[in-house]
Amino acid sequence: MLTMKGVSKIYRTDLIETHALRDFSVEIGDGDFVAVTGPSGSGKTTLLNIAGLLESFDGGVYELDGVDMHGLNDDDSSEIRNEQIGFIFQSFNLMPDLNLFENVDVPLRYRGFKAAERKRRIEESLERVGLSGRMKHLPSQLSGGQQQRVAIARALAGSPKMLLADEPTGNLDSLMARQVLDLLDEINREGTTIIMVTHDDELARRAKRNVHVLDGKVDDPTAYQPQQRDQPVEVIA
Amino acid sequence: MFTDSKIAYDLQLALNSIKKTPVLSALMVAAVGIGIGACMTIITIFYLMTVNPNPDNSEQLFTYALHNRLTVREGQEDDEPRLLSTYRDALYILESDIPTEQSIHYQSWAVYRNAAGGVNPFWDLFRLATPGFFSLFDVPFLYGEAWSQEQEDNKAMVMVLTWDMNNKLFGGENSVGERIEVGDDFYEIVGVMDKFKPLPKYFEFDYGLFQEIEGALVPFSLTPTIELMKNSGSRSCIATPEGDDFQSYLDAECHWLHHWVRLPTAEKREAFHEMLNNYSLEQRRFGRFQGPFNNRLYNLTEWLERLEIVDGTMTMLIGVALMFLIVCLLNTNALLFAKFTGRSAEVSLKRALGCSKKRLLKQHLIEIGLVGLVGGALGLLLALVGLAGIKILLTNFDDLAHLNTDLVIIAIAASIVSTLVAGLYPAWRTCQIAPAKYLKSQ
Repeated sequence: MLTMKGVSKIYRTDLIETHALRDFSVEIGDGDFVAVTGPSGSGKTTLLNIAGLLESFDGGVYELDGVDMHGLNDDDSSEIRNEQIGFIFQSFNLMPDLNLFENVDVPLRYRGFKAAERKRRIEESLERVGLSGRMKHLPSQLSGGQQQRVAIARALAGSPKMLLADEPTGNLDSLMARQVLDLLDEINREGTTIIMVTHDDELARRAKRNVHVLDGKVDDPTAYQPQQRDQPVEVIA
Repeated sequence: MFTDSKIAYDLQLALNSIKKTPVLSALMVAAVGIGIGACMTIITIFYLMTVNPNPDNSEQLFTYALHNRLTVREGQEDDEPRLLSTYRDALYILESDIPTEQSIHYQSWAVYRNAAGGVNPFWDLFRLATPGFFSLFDVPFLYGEAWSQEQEDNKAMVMVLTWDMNNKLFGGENSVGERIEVGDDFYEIVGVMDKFKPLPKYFEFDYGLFQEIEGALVPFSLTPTIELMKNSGSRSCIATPEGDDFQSYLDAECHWLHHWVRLPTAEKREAFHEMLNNYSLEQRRFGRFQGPFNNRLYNLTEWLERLEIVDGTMTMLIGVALMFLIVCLLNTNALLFAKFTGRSAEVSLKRALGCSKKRLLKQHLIEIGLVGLVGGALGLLLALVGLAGIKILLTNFDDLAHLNTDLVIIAIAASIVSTLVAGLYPAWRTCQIAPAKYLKSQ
């Protein structure tokens, strides 16, 4: 599904160069559920951004389903983001002036689906996260957990191959966090690959695999190897 | 809104965005509206002053200028020929069969009396013209028709009324066959013109290019009979008439007549110009036409340029109005920057969800275009106020100070285009926001 070999990312200013990723390599298979852990500033979010084509990278190879992601133009990278990747953010990132239905509709609009197809997908995905009865509500009328479920519905509506979640429970209390994790677990069991950045060891343990990032590198190269679903969760740190 | 149409969706997003920032949006619309309003007020006057009043015939209608001087003083060696003709020159050239149509005409005035009564006598203008006037300048008729060449030759006491004069004297009824008294004579009405207001009134410039046409027209051949001189404008004489009587005035070297001809082909134009030159050379032998040999033939387009209708003041006013519009658009540009900067997080999110830069730019341009459209509508309202003010403050601007369909379209198009130009850079900058930049900070 996703292969990175020797990927590097450097942020440059007039005064300083920051190596966010250095010779970073990882392989993530179809249907995997990977938790990316590591201290603040270690490069976790940069990894997620590059994986989601939200940022370019400076060196190395990144392949998604065997396709080289280097040097894609804006149209192509936008299309891949829209069709193959779903995003879940810590702060939900819903549009406050759109209701739930319209929020989930946003990425589908860019996909060019017909109205009937969009409606079906929106209703199904909101049903899936248990919010089908609140389609006309605004995000501000929902709890944090419900808002994150809307964000998940939005990510799922386009049937992505891969979900990228950046601290998806960071703004939620433990009960809501557990509900969201249960949902992600369920989505993964249905075959969607999930890469989740988290600081929370307990959440990381719920993933099939952990990748610990330190100073822009994978802390333990053995972690590249895909693991079987029924293996015990291993935290590499 | 739940449709398949991308445009409808983008329009809905634009409307939502405008509603979300009502103060900023109102300021932008006001800035665009004020700029367009000021510009359109001046441009309307300019446009109506300079528009070709008879574009279909502008390459066929000609007037001439002969360089008639009896003596040439220092500094007059290469001056421009006179734009008006003498009575004798005009009558001679009228005999030419080269033009397919032609007309000599001038304006005078007298007291009008309705023979049937009902309206108090009043002073008003009328025009003496050969009958070619009506076909040459495409004069429309409501009732009756122009007098014939035979009536012209026979000095018939006939008259064509304008639409306004017919309204004034006969309440708009068909007055053909009625008689009215103008000056000391009675005239039979043979035709009533429909509304006829060419702007500028290119076929004469004495009374004002933007004044309405006179109330009535009578045969030019009556000039020596009714002995009414030209009422206003140029009637300069380069030699003192030999006597005090009217015939002496007609025979004198006085320039006061307008003479227009239709020359539909290049051959006819050449032949007519040659005829003018030959006439000029012949007259030179009799001591006339001593000035430079530079007789001119102007088609309508060249004539309008020669008249220099748009003077320096108008050009300067247009410059000032355009500068004002630019200042307003710079303000709009700054407001758009402020507005778009505030939506960085939304842009970042849309990019992450798969919106390409092109699509995003299109969405922003639709929003800017919408601001331009509303600003243009406001600008039109302000232009109407401005034009009403000009009508109050200045005379002779009644027919110039109004918006027509062309100008409304120009105003709206100019508003949308100029707002798009002002907003293109802020929109483009906004679309360059990296998708990941603001996702963490929301």
